Amino acid sequence: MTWEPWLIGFLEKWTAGLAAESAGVNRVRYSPNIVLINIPCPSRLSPVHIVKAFLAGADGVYIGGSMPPADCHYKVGNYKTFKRMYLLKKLMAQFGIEPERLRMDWYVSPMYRALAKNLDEFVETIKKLGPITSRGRVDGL
Amino acid sequence: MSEGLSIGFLELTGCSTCLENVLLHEKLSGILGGLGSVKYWPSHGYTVEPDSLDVLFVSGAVRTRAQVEKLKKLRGKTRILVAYGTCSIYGGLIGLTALINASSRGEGFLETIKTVPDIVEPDILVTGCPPTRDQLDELAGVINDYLENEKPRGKVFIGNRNSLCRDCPRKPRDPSRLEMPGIKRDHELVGDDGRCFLEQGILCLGPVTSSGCGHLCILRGRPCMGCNGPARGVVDQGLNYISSIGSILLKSMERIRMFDYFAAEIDRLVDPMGYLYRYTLPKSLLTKLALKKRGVSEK
Amino acid sequence: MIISPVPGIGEDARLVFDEEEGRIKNVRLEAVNKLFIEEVLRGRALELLPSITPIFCSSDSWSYTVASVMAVEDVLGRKPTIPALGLRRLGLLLEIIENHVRNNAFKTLPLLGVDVRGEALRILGYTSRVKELLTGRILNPVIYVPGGASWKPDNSILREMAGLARILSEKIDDHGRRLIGNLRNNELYNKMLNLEFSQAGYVAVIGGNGEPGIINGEIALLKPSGGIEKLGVNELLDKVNISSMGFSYWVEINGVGPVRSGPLARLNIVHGYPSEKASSIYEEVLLITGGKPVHNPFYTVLARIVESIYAAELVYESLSDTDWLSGVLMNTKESPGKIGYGVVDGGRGLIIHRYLADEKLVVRDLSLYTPSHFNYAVLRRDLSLLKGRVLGDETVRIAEALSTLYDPCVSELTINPVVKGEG
Repeated sequence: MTWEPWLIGFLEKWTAGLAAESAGVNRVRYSPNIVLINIPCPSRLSPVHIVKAFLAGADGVYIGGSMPPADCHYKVGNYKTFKRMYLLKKLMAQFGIEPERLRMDWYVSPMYRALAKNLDEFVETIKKLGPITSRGRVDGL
Repeated sequence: MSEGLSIGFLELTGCSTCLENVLLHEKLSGILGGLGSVKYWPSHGYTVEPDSLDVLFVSGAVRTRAQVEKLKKLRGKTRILVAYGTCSIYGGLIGLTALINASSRGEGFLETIKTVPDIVEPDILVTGCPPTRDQLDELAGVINDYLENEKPRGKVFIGNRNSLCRDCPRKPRDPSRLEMPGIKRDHELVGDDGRCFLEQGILCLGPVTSSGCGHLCILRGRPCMGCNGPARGVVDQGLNYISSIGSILLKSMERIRMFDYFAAEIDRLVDPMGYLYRYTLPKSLLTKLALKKRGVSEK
Repeated sequence: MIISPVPGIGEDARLVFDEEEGRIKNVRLEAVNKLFIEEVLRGRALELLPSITPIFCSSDSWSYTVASVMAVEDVLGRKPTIPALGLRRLGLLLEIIENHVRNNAFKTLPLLGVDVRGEALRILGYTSRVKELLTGRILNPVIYVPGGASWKPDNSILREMAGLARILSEKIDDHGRRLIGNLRNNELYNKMLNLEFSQAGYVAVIGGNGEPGIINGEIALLKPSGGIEKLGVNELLDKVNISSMGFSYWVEINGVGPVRSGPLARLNIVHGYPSEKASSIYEEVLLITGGKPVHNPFYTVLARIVESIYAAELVYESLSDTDWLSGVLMNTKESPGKIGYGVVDGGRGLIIHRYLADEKLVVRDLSLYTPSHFNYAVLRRDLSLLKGRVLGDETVRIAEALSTLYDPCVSELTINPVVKGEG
């Protein structure tokens, strides 16, 4: 049995979320290793949620927000998200957890091809990093 | 009632300076029967382990297998076990070594730092580095209650668990518009104007720390270091703190400056772990994750 | 035979006796627990160290804070203000009193059958109250910051402190004098004073007039032959010869070794005590010792008494006239460098912190030199005096008492001081 990474992604429903839907409509494939969840705004995500996702077995966590940053549906959500996640990445590095396991990208809704490409890329990055726990996961469960 | 009580003090890994305070606090010492009741306290010359103890104060974090055994053994002999001081509950300063793989450095070490509640069930928990006079007042009342009543009322946490900011004497100009104008490191606090530390750019752990200490540092011109442990509702001091300051850091620059502007400011914080987890590292979710990554079992 | 916990030291240490036909073949003090915390100090933000290093030590924790603040100050290139220095000195004097009273009453004297623990506890009540008034807490004196102090007590607090300090000074004087009288008639103690110990070197910080310097003065090395050599901190660290036996300790300094640090070292090096009660008790003690230097470590009990009386007088003196507190509290003018030193001659002995920081003020390397690094070698040698004696109650008692005299801090011993890199 080979190890397959398991990732979780949080997408802002107004932009990245719409892009994901468009990817489906347009039959653009992206890696099945990532589970996507639409949320109104990533700034609602606390670093606690991210770390809990890792603890629950996610090998990587993806965040998709809106572009340009100032175009946030809630005006400043992207900035709050960026500051929190940037600081969290710094902290993760100090704990010996690769900061690359947390990735943020910014989208407008027509960017479904870019989304698919970025997700595939992220899954590849995580594959290279290996499982987050030393035991590893089986069959992407 | 205090006659014939037997009191013990157990010092695990930590400085344990706080234990002496128990006997120096008049009310508490009076209830316990003072020095005359002390039957066990190795660092103060009482080395013979008694058959039973009415009250055992445990300070320090758990680092060795021998300490685990000792703690379990004494728990069995003790009526009221008090986890005393932040080290015993959250790991304290010594908890900063939680990520050092001690078990590979010598016989008998645990793989990480454990706390007293990880090993045995304490009856009373007192945080603080050291617990303050007011906390000891409250502790005296609870211990008195426990000694008098056959059936104690279960595990008790001593001290106010509200966030320090709630009744902080340092007020921001307008709490609803609180903004951190950047990140200053501790030694860069110049010209303190008596306002909220966050508003001066100083990383004060007040928002995520419980106020049982009575604002000791804040009243003396120093930001909170988090020594009293997390406030009620705080899952993880550091992670919740990141959430808080993410909202207020350079708030007025949002939508005006690019991300790299914020990144450059955050980069000034060279040691987030040291700032955010000085007293609670073993209890951090990130520590749990790092240990899991390393393959250290939860047990 | 193994003694654990060691009376007065606790669970983290054990005394190991190797026995051969009922006689002691060898005896040594071993560390059981290790802190490893110096490992996590590397890579830390420099300014955080003063709040973290006190965890090494319960009885010298304020000395650690101050040594750490001084080393950070040195890296930053800040000069501390006069009020700040005064506040630091005040805190350290209080800690010295606590140290000596605690060590005598709770650690050494119970082994001699002398129980003054109740009296000692009352004295500790006074010191801890004054410490609390000074910084809000008995641990982590947060007001001490690089370049100054973040806060100073107002006049009403100062008055309250001065009142307590006056009573403290009287109580300590009385306590000390009665204790000396008591010890003179103690059979076991006199027996211990008659043991023959070999010579040692002594190291302490000495002020301009030959008084104990604490944070103010030069490091002085007293050779067994009698000559005093003044050393800069850099010079001292260059001349150290370190041994490692699971943990490191200093074998010799500049060809002199082993070298003792702490109350007995200071008693041997100082010219005298510039205060009334202390100098009178000092004269009395010199009559008992029959001159200086004294090499028998059991005189440490008396040295602690002299020094606690002296420190209490100084505390009262500096609180009854507080002109020194009137100036500017903080100096933030700085010119950051790379290396910083902090030197404090605390209750237990000499503490040296040496930090090496990079341009972002992150600690790249550090060395912590502690009292136990000096004293372990002397303790080892002193314990070897018991070799060949019958292993019995009395010899065990002597070994235990000897250990408490050095108040060896097991966590201090586990600190590795060898680092000398220049980044």
